[in-house]
Amino acid sequence: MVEKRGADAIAAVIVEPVYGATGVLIPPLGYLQRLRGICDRHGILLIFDEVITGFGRLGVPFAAEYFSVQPDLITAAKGLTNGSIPMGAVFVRQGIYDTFMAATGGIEFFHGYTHSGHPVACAAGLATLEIYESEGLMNRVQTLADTWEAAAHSLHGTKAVIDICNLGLLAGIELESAEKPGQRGFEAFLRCFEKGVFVRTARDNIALSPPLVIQPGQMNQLFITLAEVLNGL
Amino acid sequence: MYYTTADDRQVLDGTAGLWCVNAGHGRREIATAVHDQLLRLDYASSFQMGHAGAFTLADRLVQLLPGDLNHLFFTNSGSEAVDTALKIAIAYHALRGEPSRQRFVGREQAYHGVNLGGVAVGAFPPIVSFLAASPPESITSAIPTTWPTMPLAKGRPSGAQTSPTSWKRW
Repeated sequence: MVEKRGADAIAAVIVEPVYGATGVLIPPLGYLQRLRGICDRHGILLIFDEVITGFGRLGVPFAAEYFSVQPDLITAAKGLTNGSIPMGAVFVRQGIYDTFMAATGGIEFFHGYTHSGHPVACAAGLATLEIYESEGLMNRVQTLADTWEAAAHSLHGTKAVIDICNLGLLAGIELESAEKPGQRGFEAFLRCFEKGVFVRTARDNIALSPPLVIQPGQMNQLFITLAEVLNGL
Repeated sequence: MYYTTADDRQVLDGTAGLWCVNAGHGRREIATAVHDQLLRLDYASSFQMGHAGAFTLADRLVQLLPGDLNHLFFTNSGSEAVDTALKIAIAYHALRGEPSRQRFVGREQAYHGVNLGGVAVGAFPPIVSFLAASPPESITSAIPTTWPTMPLAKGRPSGAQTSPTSWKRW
């Protein structure tokens, strides 16, 4: 892509360190490092979209730390306020900030929302951080990841399951499509809800990302129910 | 960990709401903080003014980030954060004397929210389908994700194979 467009036409590359909405997809070893290297060579900024991976999902506060790759910007939201009050944030490196602040002539970055830094959202964010820190939630997944992995992969052999992947407290289960793509996934979603479990489906992919406070018994409930539902479809 | 349905059933939340309720539901501390704040200062403009809470939160948040990711810009959602980041990227390069850097590279099937910027850099088929043409070529190019597939991989797949995956996800 750099060759096609010319490096000096490209401002940034943006990636989710782990795909989310399309279904959980995990980067292969070395992938993000290589991306960082390409960006460095061509003066391109690297943006990590950590809206999903932020705030402990992988067992450390942010995926950048987990993958040992330093992006230039990180976007975050969701867990920032525990989903309570809408809020997002863009983190930037010192050099980017300095560049804006050094510019002369009025407002450095003419941008902002009516509700940027809203006092109530900030209060929710601070209270959320207090909880994460006092309960060690942003590191808790380190102690859960192995159990979670085993539980997720216990679905191997379940009807229509063609792939399972996991990282941190994320799991993706790819289902074989029925006649109409998306049909199986949607029915699984409905049946799970009837049986007392809420899952997320993207077409025929099930994406799991429970609260970081989950207990092993609840993991069992989640996967046992899912297996029952899938086998019964 | 549970929702209660309208007909009083307990439903285990396997999704943290929408990947967002990391601390679980019903956290009284957050409710109390919100309640108190609404009575103390319900709204404050961030234009030419500031309030302490925003700076306190910002200072606490940047402690969590690696390296020198020391500054942040608040938005109201991930979608807005993405569009803001794209703007910052273009403006940054322009300020440094490289205004030609106007394009972005995203990945196929990536999701970066639903504002037009995020839609353009994430070639997420159902979202893009409403556009008459592919996302504006002027600002984006989607790279196919040639991740090797490794079925039933636990954790991170090794990069041994390099054949492109053809996804039938959408």
